[in-house]
Amino acid sequence: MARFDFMRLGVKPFWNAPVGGNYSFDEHVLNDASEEVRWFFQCPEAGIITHLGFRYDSGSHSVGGGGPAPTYRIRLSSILGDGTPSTTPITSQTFQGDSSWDGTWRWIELIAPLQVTRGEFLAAIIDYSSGTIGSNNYSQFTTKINSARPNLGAFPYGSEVTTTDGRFSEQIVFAYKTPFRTYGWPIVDLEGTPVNSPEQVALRIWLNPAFGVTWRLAGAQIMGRLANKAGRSFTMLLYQGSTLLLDVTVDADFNSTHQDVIADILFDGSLPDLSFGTEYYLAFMPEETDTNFDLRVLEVPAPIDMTAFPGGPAFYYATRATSGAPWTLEKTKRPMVNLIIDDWTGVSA
Amino acid sequence: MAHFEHARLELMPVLSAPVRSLVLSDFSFIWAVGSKIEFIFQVEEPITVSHLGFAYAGAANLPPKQRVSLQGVDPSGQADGVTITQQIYEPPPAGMDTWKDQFIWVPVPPASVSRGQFLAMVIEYSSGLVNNSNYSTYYSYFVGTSSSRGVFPYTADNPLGTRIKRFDRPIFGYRSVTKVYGFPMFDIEELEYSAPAQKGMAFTLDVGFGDFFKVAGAVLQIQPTTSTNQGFAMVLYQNQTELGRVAMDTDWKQTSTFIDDRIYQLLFDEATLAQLSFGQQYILAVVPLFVTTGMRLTTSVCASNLEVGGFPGGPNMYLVERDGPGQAWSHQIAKRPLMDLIISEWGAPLEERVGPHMKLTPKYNDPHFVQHADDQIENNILEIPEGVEPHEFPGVPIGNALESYSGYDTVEVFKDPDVARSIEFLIHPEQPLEQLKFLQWDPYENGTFEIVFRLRAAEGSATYREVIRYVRVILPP
Repeated sequence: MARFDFMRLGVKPFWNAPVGGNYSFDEHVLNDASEEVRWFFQCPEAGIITHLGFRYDSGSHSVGGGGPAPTYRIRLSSILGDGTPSTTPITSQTFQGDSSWDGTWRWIELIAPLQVTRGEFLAAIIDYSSGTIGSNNYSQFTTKINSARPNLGAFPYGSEVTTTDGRFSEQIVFAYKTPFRTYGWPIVDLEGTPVNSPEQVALRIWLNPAFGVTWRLAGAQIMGRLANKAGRSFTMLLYQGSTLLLDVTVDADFNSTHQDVIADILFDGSLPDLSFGTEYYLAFMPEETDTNFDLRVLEVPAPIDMTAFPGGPAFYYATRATSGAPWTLEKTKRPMVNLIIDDWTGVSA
Repeated sequence: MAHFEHARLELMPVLSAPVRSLVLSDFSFIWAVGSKIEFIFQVEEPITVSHLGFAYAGAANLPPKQRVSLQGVDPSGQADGVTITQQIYEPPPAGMDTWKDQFIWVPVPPASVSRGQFLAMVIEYSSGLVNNSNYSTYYSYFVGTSSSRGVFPYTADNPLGTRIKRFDRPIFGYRSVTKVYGFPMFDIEELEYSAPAQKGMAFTLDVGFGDFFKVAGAVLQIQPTTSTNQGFAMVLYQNQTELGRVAMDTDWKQTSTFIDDRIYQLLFDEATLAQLSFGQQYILAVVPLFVTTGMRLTTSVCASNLEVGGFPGGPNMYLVERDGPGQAWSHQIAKRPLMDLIISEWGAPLEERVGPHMKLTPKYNDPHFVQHADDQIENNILEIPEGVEPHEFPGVPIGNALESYSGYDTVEVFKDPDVARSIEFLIHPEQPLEQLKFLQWDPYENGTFEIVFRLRAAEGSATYREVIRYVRVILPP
């Protein structure tokens, strides 16, 4: 087999991760006709953009003065030489949110689909369009993800424009889609649900058979809380169907903190050859009933939106009540797990 | 080739990146009898350990003899005191400190360790005078302006007598005779340059991984100038030959500050990405476009290429630089720039492809269509009409087949003929037939889809003819 030198197959969803724990969405209130929310990005592939998407947090209809939200416009524009978006839309659409939109992902169908090329630089902008806007009439949009520790992203990035161009470096929350793929960061929720023995949570793994013949998994880089108190432990397990292929038990005190961490966990013993095109489950099982193992998980609006993240829809979240029980598959969720690859044999090896 | 879904081969050695203005912490001291630095880690693979290594910061006067050892880990996450192997060493005095700011390997009696074994590498006082005037300091972890959030592996030290588990990336190493493990670096450099100079990362992916791959872009820890109206490019080279390029206006970035290195995700903009070969060296360079465009590229610094081999991806990925286009590249094999490759495709040989997931199934068993359809499923004798050649392999345009079938030049492909020809159902926009390939099909759901080829009589012609075919999407198990 060809040595992979622990190169990581990055299925980690954040381009700018890992960051500290305590993720939260950050919103911007658009309550002035002069304000804008902007996201700047490159198109990963050529395609036809049909929809622009954002997370609608809430609005005056729910949390403010009770008035209806105004009508806003979302548009795509080119980026000018000074880094600001052109005021001329390439394509656009207007929309009006209401309370049924709160906390949901919204896809806005563009008036005219836009053919884009690979690597094209674009800006997506939400601004005021019509209707009453002010302290009693507004919507607030999720623009980014905050964490305990700042990100340092320089591109892609976003901006909350008020009296100033408030460019931020945190992970942006914005996406677009073509008829068959989603691009960007269509994150509708961030969660971490503590689990205890005998529950298991897992990353479902499937690697395309065209990538090669066999591979070996050395371990995983995970983000989450391994335990919330001393003296607890968990086991990382690799399953093929009901067959347990690998496992390693980790004392959660072998760690620098009982908060969210980024941990490289490696299997012990001999690593079996795994097959491309075969489904595996990389599972985590707390060893005690009060371990409170808490793997960080993100959620997208629909399974197709997982195409926006490295590795695509073949990687998703699974849970079960106990070892041997059937997995409950959650194809709109992706746990924050990277695979650490030991070996990888291409067909020609 | 197989779509790689932009999965990243994460080569960036900083686990907890991005951090701001990376610096090595030199606050781990051996300046008292009880001073101790522990590195808690798992063994990456079974080896015989021949050396233990650390980044030595310096000595004050005449430091004491010290001991480095491998020990087990007790349930609290500390070294358990049971020595697996050890060595006592005597750092040079301050006036002759040849160890200062170097990564030092201390030979130890050979010791076998197993994959996944939890171990502690411990540095501690051994003998001799030790106090606030006679001591050693170590770079035991590195931090940014904003600290990391906790890691495993990790460093623990006790500079003031109390043991502290550090949240930041530990700096340590262990090795066999032939290979290094851990995080064996001793410096971070922010390399500043301007046009026409170029710096980047040479990379070679093992020939055993397959035949071909494509690089969509990269994640880079860099920072261009604060000046406006400047620009830089990310360029993919095979030695002197340019294979891909994307230019960026420096005003198109989030921050104007030049103080901190930042994270950029840049994607090439060629319509067709270059097909790259495993076993071949390529260079991903960051190129300022103007003499006035300052550029900063962050790189880790190791003692030699052997230590670079301890990072993900191994020793074949390292810093390269040159004075300008056309100049020979200078290979800095002991340094690893902070870059990740974003892979778009990763291929196996065409003749061996058996994989998913796209099949054009001729509803009427049209043998001509079967013969030429771009088929990414293994041949099934039941699906091949007698006397017809097996399906061809992916990547082959079906255009010729369609053209000969229909006599048309361009095609649009829609899903589901029972609905209006809406953009919502467009699989492929209008394009010359010879360019139509079915290299990708997102396997979301099982079932058979009827698709419509909407053929234009000629480019620009208003005359269309629709041809119905079926697509079966086969899910992974």
